[in-house]
Order: sequence, then structure tokens, then C-alpha cells
Amino acid sequence: MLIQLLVNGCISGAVYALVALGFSIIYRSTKIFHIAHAAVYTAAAYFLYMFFIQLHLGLVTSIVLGLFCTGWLGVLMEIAVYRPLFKEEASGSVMLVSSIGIMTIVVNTIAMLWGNETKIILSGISEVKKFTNPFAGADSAFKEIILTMPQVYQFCISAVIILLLLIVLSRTKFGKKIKAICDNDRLVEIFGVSLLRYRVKIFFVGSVMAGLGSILFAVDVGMDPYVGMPILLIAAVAVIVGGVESFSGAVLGGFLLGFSKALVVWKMSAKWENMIVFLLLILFLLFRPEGILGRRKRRV
Amino acid sequence: MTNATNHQSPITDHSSSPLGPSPSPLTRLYRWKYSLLLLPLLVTFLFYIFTSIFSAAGFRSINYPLHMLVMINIYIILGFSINLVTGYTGLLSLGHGAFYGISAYITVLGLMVLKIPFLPALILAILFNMLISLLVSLPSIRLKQDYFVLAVIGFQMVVYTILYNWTGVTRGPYGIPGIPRPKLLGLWQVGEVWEYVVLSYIFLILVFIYFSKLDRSSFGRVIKGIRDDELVVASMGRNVNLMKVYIFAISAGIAAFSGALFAVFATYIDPTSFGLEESIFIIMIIFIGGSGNLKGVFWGALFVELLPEMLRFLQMPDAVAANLRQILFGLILIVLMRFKPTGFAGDYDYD
Repeated sequence: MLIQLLVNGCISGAVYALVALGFSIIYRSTKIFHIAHAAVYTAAAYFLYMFFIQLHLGLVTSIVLGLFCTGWLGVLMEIAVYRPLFKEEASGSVMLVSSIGIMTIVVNTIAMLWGNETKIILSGISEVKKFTNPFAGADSAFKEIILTMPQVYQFCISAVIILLLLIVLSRTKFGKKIKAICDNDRLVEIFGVSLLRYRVKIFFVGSVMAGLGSILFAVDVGMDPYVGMPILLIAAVAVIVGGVESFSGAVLGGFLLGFSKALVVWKMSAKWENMIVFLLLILFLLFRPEGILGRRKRRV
Repeated sequence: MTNATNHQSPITDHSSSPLGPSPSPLTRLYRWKYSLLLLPLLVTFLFYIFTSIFSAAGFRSINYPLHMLVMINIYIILGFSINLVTGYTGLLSLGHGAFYGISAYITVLGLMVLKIPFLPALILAILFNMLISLLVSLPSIRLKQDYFVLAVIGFQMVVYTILYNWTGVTRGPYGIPGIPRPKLLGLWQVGEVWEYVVLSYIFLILVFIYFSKLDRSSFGRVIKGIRDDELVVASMGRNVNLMKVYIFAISAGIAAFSGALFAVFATYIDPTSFGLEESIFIIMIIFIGGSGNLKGVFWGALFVELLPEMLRFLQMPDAVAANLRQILFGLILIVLMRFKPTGFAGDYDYD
């Protein structure tokens, strides 16, 4: 049972890591606490619903189109709201409050257009895969680990995309520029990098990551207009727990949260699985605010 | 000659010379800060009369605007509560829905389980809220802006999860119906809507007196100092951390008035009234009305409470109106933050 739960935790952890990485890219480079990331996440699932169920396109086409729209939704937020504030050098609080405004608008527009009830993308029972549990004895009741096909896809796609993005961020020129923007965005401008263009790219990539995570979950369990907020909080906590200073920290944090939630479900009850997220947050903020991978700074 | 000086000094000028003309009674009423307390009463009735004249249905029962007035007063008190933390001290709090909810549930616990009268139950709720506020104020000492916001959202989610899932005490999603109407000091059985208006006004006046004193006191100036530059306050020998703990305790205590009042007024509570949405709604009061002073809260609470009525007046179906209201709030928030971060009547621009 424990192994089964750990595998489940690993799978959801991979998706959390994906969303957290998207949040981390935006948060580190633009310093915006992008609460509207939750709205982007929700919107992606509904874009998929619109293309796949309402417009009867193929699943892969719908996903690609949905991700494209999601990316542009994120970019729209940057251009319409954050950019003017950025030019005026508004404070972080003003950005955060505007972000709450955007989230409210998008989530309620979705609720108005598609209704409050839960929507399902794939109906029927999904195909089940069984794997042999290498740790269980021959007479154990939990010899097999049971996974649904969407879960297998969730893990594989997330893992591949995360690895790809981490490589892009550390090896290519694009990634290095983003890292430079994270450190000092005004200085980067001096070297001829168009900061505004890069912010658009950053928002596009970050939003697509959130959208992919959203679509992977939506295909499995469906969605309603309010799914975004809990996931955003998990992503933000993952970024802090893993360490704000690095992108791999967000990934590590995502997996850690996935595992801890699985453990809580095993030991206590699924009702309390969101509690562990904030318990971890408080513990880390109080005792290790720089996160697992962060380097300890001298306090000033 | 008196006419000439009248032209030069605008109405809001507070430094009228002793030799100048004495202000008209209306001006004096406008300057007298306690006149703000009349604002909810006045605006609600003007709104009621206006909508009644122009609507096909005509005048509805007088209980309807009174009902609105009680809710407006509840939100003004909540607005003051969050104003202390966010407007005066500069700590963005998205967790006041939790304080509101905890106090409502504690009041109900006192009334229905412990069988104590309303006022002791209210005091219990206030004290319990102050205790709980330590959970938010202690992290606030060490955390920077964004992290603090996240921690408070976390607190809000945890409280919501407990209210929703601890079914043995809170009955979870079913809510608690049949909350008894309050009896004050064994004398005054509150039952009619107008009696609730009086009760809410008593609470509001208490809170308002506290804030009008605070606005001019050294404590009030010190916490505004924390907002503007924490280091300066610390260098003046003030204990900033202790101040933050006090601020949160007082703010949570004030929120308890609203929670208790809401519980006995609605006579039914369930956790969905106290989620993150509610916290965002509460903080909108001061984002829209403006924070850091006395009058912003009044305008904000009036606005957020009357906007849905306005939509209803425009014959919006209820299902659409709820979402449309939120969308309008979001738009207003973005536009205000871009062009007027202080809100309609505030002092603090969240910089």
C-alpha cells in the first residue's frame, strides 16, 4: 500500500513540479508573485474542453491548440497589466494585488461561460496498467502497483518536459539570458537584451507549463473553475521549500510535496492532505527560509 | 471681504484662521469625523428610495434596506479590522476571512454548546481570535512581503479545511442552522431587523471610537511608521515585532465583532462563507475604498455591498450577477492599482 501511494505521490509530484517550475520562472525573473498563474492553470483545462468536447477536434490537436492559447493568455496578462506597472516601477504589493484582480476576472469569466459544475474530458473508465511491486513478498496483498493510463502519461510527459526545460535553462543562450534576468534585469538590458520581449517569452513558457500540468490532471480527473488556487499554492510552496534560488529547487519541492501528500493520505485521511502543504511551508519559512537547495545567507 | 476669503479657502481646508468666517453648519458636519457613521444609513436609504422609484416592482418592505444596512455595518467593521493590519501597518493580509469565520464558529459554540449568553460568547470569540492571531503574527515577524502573503493564505486554507472537515464540531459542509437570537444583559432580546441595525451600530461605534483615537495617537503614528520604514521605527527604540503581534491581536479581536454579529444575524453558518474568496472580498473593501484612514473603509464597504444590489436592479439574473460582480471587482482592482493605488479615499498606496 505504501509503495502504491508513493508511486501515486511521485506522479502527482511530477505534475506539481511542472506547474511549480512555470511559477518559478515567472517569479524569479519578473519578481511578480503571479497569483493569476492559478487562473492560467484553470483556463488551460477549459481551452482543452472547448476544443476537444465542444469543437470536436482531435485530442492531440486540442492539447496543442489549448497550450498555445494558454501561453498567449499569460502573455496577455503581462502586456495588459504587468507591463505598465513594470514601467512605472510599481511595488511588489501593487503587482500582487493586480494579480489577484486578474485571477478574479479570469476565474469568474470561466464560471460564467462554462458553469460551476465539474467537467470531464474523457468519460468512461480508463485503461489500467499493472506493474509488479519489487518490494512486496510473494504472499503480499499488494503485489501489484495499479496505475491508470492517464497517470502513466502524466508522469512521462511531465518528467520529459521538466528535464528538457532544465537543460534548456542551463545550457542554451536563451536559458542563460533568463537566468541573467533573474539576477539583475536592469543590467541585462545594457547588454542589448530586449527585456520586454524576454518577459513576454518568460510568461509564455511559464503559462504553457501551468497549462500542461492542468491538462494532464484534467484528462484524468476533470476540472471545475476553482481547481487553480490549491495547485498554485502547492506550486508556490514547492518553490519556497525547494529553494527560490534555483530552478531545480522548484522541481524538488514539487516532488517532495507530492510524496508528503501521499504519506498524509496513507497515515491520516485524504481530507487533511492540503494541511501538510502549509505545515511544510511554515516549517520551512521558520527554520530554513532559503529552502533545501538554497545557500544560507548571512542575516543582515 | 468675507466673501473674498471664502473663495480662497476650499471647504476641506482644516486650517481656517480664527478671524476667518465661521463655517456653515453643513461644512462643520462634513468636517466632524463622527458624521461618517451616518454615511451607511444615508447611502442605504438613498439607494433604497432610488431603486424603488425606478423599479417596476415599487417599494419593497423596509426590512430589506435594513437587512442591507446590517451587512454593510458588518463589512465596515471587518474593513476596519483589515485596515489596521494592511492600511496602517502595511502587511497585506489575505486571511481575515479566517478570523471572521473562527469568531462566528466560536460564538455559536458558546451560544449553543456552552449555553452562555451572547456577550460572554462574544468576549470568548474575541479572546480566542486574539490567541489564534499569534499564528499569523509570529511568522510575520520573519517573513518578507510575498512570503508573508503566502503564509497567510496558507493559514486561511488551513482554517477553512478545519472548518470544513472537522465534522464532529462544525458539522462540516452541512453548516449549523438554528443559531439562537442574542439576548443582551438579560434585558434586550434582539429579534427584529431594526434591532440588529441598532446592535450593529453599537459595535460599529465602539470600533469607530477606537480608530478615531488610534488615528491621532502615538501608537497609530508608530504603526504607520512601521508601514513606511520599519528600520526607522526600530531605531527609535520601538519593539517592532511586539507591535506587529499587538496589531494582529487587535485586528483579530475587531474581526470577532463582525463574526459574532454575522452568526446571530444570519442564524445559519457554513464554512463556504469563510473561504479564501471571502478573504479576497474583505481586502477589496480597503483596496477599493482606500486604506490608512477612517473614511476609506466606509466607502469601500458601501461599494462592495451595494454593487450586487445595483446589478440586481439592472435585472441581471442571479447566476450571472454573482460572477459579473466578481469580474467587475477584478477590473476595478486592476484599474485602481494602475491609476490610483490609494483607492477612492485612502492614504496608503501599497508602495
